[in-house]
Amino acid sequence: MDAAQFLFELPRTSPSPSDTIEKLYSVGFWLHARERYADAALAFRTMLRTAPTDERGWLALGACHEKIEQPRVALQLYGWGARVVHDATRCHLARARLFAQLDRLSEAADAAEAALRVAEETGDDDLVALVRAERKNHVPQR
Amino acid sequence: MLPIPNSGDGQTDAMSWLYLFISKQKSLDVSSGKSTIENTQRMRDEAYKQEMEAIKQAVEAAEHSSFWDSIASVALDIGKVAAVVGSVAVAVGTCGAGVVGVIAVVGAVLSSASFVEGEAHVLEKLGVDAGVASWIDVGLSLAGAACSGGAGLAGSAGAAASEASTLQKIATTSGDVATVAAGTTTVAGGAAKIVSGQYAGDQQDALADSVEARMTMDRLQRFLLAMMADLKASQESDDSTLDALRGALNTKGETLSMTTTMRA
Repeated sequence: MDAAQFLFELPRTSPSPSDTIEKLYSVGFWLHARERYADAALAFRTMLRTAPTDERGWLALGACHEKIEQPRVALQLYGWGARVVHDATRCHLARARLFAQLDRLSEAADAAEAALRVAEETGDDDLVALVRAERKNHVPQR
Repeated sequence: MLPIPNSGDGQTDAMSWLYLFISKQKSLDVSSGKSTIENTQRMRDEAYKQEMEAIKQAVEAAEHSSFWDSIASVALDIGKVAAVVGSVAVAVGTCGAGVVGVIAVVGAVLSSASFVEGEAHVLEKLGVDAGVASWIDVGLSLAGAACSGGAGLAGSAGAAASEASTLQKIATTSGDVATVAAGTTTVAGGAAKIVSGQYAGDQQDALADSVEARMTMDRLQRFLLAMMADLKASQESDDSTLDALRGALNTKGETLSMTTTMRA
């Protein structure tokens, strides 16, 4: 696309709901990467209210709380995400990792198993591999 | 762990798209640098305006989402506090799509309160010591009950009259809660009427017979108390969302400007 086409199309691009979500996530992601966690959390909260079934919102907001050393709040958010999002593999995985950090090993193992189960249900081999790797690295085996 | 934003297609993030576009123009002739910068500046300004409009719309959409619309008929006149409380009841009563929205709101409030007051303080408001790990089950039981058809929460909401009474008492006796919004007692009272009107009767009897549901109810009450006490901070955070995002975009624009200047 050249500049003329870009300028021609840009004003015509009215944001759809999905576009809006992506913009919010992009802004939040960008703020998170620059360690502006409070600002990022605001963006993710807005995203969460707009699209509560988007796993990334729960995951990202939880990550902000982890960064400011609030693991229990993060755990809570991951837990809700895992409940309300059908295939929230990453939320389960994040719960497993945090449970392990909190030395709640049995719950960590349960969460890791849930993550693997959900990942296998999605049929996404990369996701399954990710879960197995994370489980191996962060969650003690029973 | 965070997934990369889906901005690669350009349609989803005008500023990122523009940034990408500029970065791909390395073959531009230096002699045309001045006009290029001017054009880029104009494009950036337009993209910035577009982005700001998008963010504004996003915030407005969040404030006026269908979730709030769906509960407006129940709780429109009694404010946000009652909306949250009422929406829990509505969601429980219908076991419908509202449940997810309610949980999202609760999650946002929890996050906001925790940022403002800290994790330990929020835990304290929930009535448990920070070292008690089981508090996390508050959230899981709330969401779990709702998502499993509302059995647990339906029982909880069945005792809405007592819940509302508790909230009313809280609103009367707690200075913090009283300052959340003018007429908080009236708000809680309004919520009480709505909830009690909907869920009196058989459901209340059923709850009385269920110890487990009673425990869930108690935890829900504590959670709602924390939510109400933190509502003011939450609303302030909501109000500042647009400002924060505007600041972020400003910074992003400055970064882009620096890049353009360096190129020149």
